[in-house]
Amino acid sequence: MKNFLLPGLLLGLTACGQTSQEKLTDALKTTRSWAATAQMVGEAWQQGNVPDRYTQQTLVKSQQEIDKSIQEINTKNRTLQNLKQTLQEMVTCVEQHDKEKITLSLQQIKLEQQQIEDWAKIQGEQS
Amino acid sequence: MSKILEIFLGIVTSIGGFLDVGAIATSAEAGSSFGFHLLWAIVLGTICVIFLVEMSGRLAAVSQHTLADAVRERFGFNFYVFPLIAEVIVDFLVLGAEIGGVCIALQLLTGIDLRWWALPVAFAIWLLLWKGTFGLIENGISLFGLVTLAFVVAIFKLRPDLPALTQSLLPSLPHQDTPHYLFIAVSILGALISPYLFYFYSSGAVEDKWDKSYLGVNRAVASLGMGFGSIVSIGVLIVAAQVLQPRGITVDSYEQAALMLTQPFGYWGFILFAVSLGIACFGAALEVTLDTAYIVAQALGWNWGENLHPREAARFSSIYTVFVFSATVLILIGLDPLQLTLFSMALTAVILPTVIVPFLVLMNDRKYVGDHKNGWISNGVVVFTTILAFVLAIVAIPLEIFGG
Repeated sequence: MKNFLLPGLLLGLTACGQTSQEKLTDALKTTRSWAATAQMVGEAWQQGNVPDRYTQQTLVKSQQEIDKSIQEINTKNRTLQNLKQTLQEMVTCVEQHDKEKITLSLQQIKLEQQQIEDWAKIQGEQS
Repeated sequence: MSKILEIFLGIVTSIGGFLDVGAIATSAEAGSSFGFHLLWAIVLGTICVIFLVEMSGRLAAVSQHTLADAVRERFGFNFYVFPLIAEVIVDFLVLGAEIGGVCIALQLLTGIDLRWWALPVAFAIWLLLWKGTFGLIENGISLFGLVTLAFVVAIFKLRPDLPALTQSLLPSLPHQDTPHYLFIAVSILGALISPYLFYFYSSGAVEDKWDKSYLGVNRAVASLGMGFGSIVSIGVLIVAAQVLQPRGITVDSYEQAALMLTQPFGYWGFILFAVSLGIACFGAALEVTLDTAYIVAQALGWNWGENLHPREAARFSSIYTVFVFSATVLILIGLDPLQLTLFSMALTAVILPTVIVPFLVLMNDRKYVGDHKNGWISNGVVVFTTILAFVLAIVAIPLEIFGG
């Protein structure tokens, strides 16, 4: 019986689930990570360091993961919506092989990353 | 002279074959999430695996028994069935992850979705096992694995902060996200101290007809091969910490990890990552498949041996045939290869005691190893690391699954 006590206790303690604040923190962390990925892959593509197909697939994956995070915290935050839009523009640039136009999207995504950082800080202070 | 050549070949193939999907995934995740802070886990896991691999080679060379064979003989089949089932389950998950790793590598190179590659990859593994010899599996693929040294070269190009690296050799807890930190530490230990490695190594030693004259070769290959091999794992962690962490990228998917080498090597960095991942996982998939066939055949007293024609070891060949194609199901149903890898590595840490406790008993039993039994250092290091990995796994896995 004792053998099952510790794992059981741990499961009981942890199975309570995440609080909404923890969910928000996790979602923001994921969003920041995938936004940074999109930026890095966009820059790498511009410099000719990664193939087109991989770039498209990674940008689409970034969109999907960010979308999942937005749904998880059920937010209508404008920056996050704009971020999705910017990622779509980047996908189009890669499809059209437009390496000049993607510069604008990369600047835009940098700005949005900063806004997400600021938003995350405010959320952190409020908790 | 031939012994020196064997030592050299053993070391080279150990370095080339050191990386597998677990080592790449856990090191990349560790570096991108916690910088250099989990370096200690790789060092600790390496020290432990050096002892365990040396022990399994010594057992085979002195007693002419494989590890599975000796455990079954010493403790009886009714006891051995527990570590056997645990190992087969973990091998199944690990094989799924390794096949997933090869498929991801092919997806990165071709753009074709990874699920299309699962069956062709399984067929290629099966074909090599069916047609190949033990020497080809052990040495051939591992030599190609030397491409993974790209991660070590990248360290020199990235010039990491040496004092910070040295500090990370001492364990410390992070300021935040402790449950995830512990989970990754467990996964690193599970990835490095993989039971399949020492079951496979002892079976290989018996296939190669080792005797006591091989004890020196065994010691050199285990310590130098594993020691140098771990530098590749350390390389992955450092590169992830230098390239991905400053940008705020935490590796949740192999697509993110694929960017790691583009900073030091440009376009060739992308290719090198994909090729390293593919070859490392393909080599490990061959070993895991073969390991499962070894332990099941040895447990049931069937004829076994990769050097035998499949007709001479029909049940042994049937096991790997069924096993390799079954494991593709994990990829075909759409499980994420990275999450599958991290979970199977953490689960490996949970089953470690069931494999290592009987192993330690054997290594202290004069009936099997005569005067070559373990000293207190070998026993101490293995017991400490196994207990640490097991306790961390019991604490960290529920926290990771259900949230901190």
